[in-house]
Amino acid sequence: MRIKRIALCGLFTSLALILSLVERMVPLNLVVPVPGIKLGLANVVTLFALTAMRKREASAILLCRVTLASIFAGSVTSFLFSLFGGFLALGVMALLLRREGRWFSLFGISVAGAAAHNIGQVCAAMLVLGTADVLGYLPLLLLTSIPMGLLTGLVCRTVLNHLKKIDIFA
Amino acid sequence: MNKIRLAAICLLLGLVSGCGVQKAESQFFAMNTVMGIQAEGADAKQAVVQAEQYINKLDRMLSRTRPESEIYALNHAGGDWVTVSYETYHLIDQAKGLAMDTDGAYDPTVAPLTDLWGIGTEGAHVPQQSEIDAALTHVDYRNIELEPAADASAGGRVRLLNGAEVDLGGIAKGFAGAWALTSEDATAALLQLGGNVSAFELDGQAKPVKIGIGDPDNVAEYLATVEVRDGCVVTTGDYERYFEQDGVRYHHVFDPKTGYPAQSGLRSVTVLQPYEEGAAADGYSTALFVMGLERGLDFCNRNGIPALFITQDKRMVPSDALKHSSGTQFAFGEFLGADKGYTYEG
Amino acid sequence: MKDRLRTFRPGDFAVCVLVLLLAAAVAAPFFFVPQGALYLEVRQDQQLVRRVRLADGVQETFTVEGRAGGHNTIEIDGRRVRIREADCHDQVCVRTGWLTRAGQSAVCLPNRLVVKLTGQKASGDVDAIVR
Repeated sequence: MRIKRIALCGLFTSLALILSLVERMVPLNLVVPVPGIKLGLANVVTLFALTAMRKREASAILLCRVTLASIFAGSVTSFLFSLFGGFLALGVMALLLRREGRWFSLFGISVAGAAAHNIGQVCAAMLVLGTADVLGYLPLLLLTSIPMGLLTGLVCRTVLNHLKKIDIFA
Repeated sequence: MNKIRLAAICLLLGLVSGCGVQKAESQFFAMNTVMGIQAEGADAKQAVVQAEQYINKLDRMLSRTRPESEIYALNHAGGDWVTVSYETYHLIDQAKGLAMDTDGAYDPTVAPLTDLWGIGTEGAHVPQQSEIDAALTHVDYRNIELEPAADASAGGRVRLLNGAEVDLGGIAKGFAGAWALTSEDATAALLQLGGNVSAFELDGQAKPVKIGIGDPDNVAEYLATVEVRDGCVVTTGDYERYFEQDGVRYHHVFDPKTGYPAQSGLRSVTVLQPYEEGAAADGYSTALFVMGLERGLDFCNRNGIPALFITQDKRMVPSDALKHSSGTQFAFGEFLGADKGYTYEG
Repeated sequence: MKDRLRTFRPGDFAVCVLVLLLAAAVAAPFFFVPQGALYLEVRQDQQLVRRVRLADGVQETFTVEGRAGGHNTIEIDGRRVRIREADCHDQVCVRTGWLTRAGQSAVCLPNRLVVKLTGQKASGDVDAIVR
């Protein structure tokens, strides 16, 4: 079954890559003029992988996605932003998923993940650019993380509910 | 698994340490003025050091007062042919071209007038008309003769007729601004060479640079702003070096036709040009100041030059190319001179 | 597998409120601090001679001796600075007048002195001034 899981990881990596490319079409740079900062659409794959697969697999998918996206169309700075943002989001969501059901639903978890993603990106930008100026864009990014998080939560929930009918891991 | 983890950590550390964006800054004295360079990029420190070295090299080659300079040798050759380096040849050639384009309003041979008036030195005074007439006989850019070497990259020969002297001080800063940063170590930079400002940009990612147009009555303040991408901005004004005698202000921008400081009704002219056209921006701003508002505006509109004129009667007039510049690498920003009694005629 | 049809738990609202609060907390300093710190830097021949944090009510006058015996007298008056007096012949530095904003500078070429204000630029400030 190991081979099937690896294949699934590859499948989700490519899905995340496509989402990274879609994300590129959003002209976020008009409001946040820091090249490399992203909305975090690909977080939906991280959230899905965390709920349906193992943490280690979710991390592997994330690392592959971030690396490949930077190689295809990006720079070293965007790689670092996505890496920081991606793993902070993954960590926060993994933590909150333990309390899923009673305290949190997927919506709250993915909002927290989106917020963590943006905090991570901005921290990386401050480190790389060596200036705290970037912090000024964080409030705006945090505001966008609420609708973004709700959207990714909705997508993830819908997919999971459909997947209950078929067992892809069998 | 351990190997993969190790490789990932090495990769990450390598990226963080090696490829981050550097920022560097330097300030130094050259070409009789103060220079400031700010740069960012993969190896901005290196880029700034190289730029400083290059500007110092140009200063040594182009200075009119240093005995070891090529210009000094040319001016003291008594009309004989002198072989000069590529940079010097290129710049003299460009200076002569600018003089032709502007019909002599910019002239690289005004040095005898500069020396006679002594503006900016302790001996500044209004000379006798006979002295001015005598100096004017040497002032004419057509006295410069150029002959390129067979190998164009090797420079060429220059000679000066009629006792003319070349002074490239008027465009050397612009030239330096355009060529000081040549490596790809810096992706964006701001150069402040004397009063000139150049914004350098390699990848089209940086924000436009916002530049204030100095207030002639208080040069720490500004009357308007322009925004520039990968371009340079040069101002020529009557306020930088001058002296006053009997209520008249005698400044350092000479009209090569009269031998007097240009009396054109202008306080300053600002010219915007692409980054690599720094020397042209320098030459144009001088020429436009000499031409005055009417002729200058006409010249700009015929040649599509973005420029901003500030007149003695407190009007601020943009050329057509600046007025209709939105969407290009230049844009007029804000007019801020209303409090100080200026009107904007854009 | 848990039932994922159940929507909106109390923690979800808490998360949203927390994110909003965080956004407000980060944004607050940018709104409530209109004036950033302003520093005076005095350089003689590229060497930093003095660096002073400017604050309202601080007054000071000091003289910098240049090489070749020249001198410039610099006056600090709260958040503004000028070169009040100089023994150079061109007096360009004195005519420059008061410096009040980050990025402004006054230069005395004969004495190789640069007086510059540095600090966080306000949003309306320019990156450089042509003159």
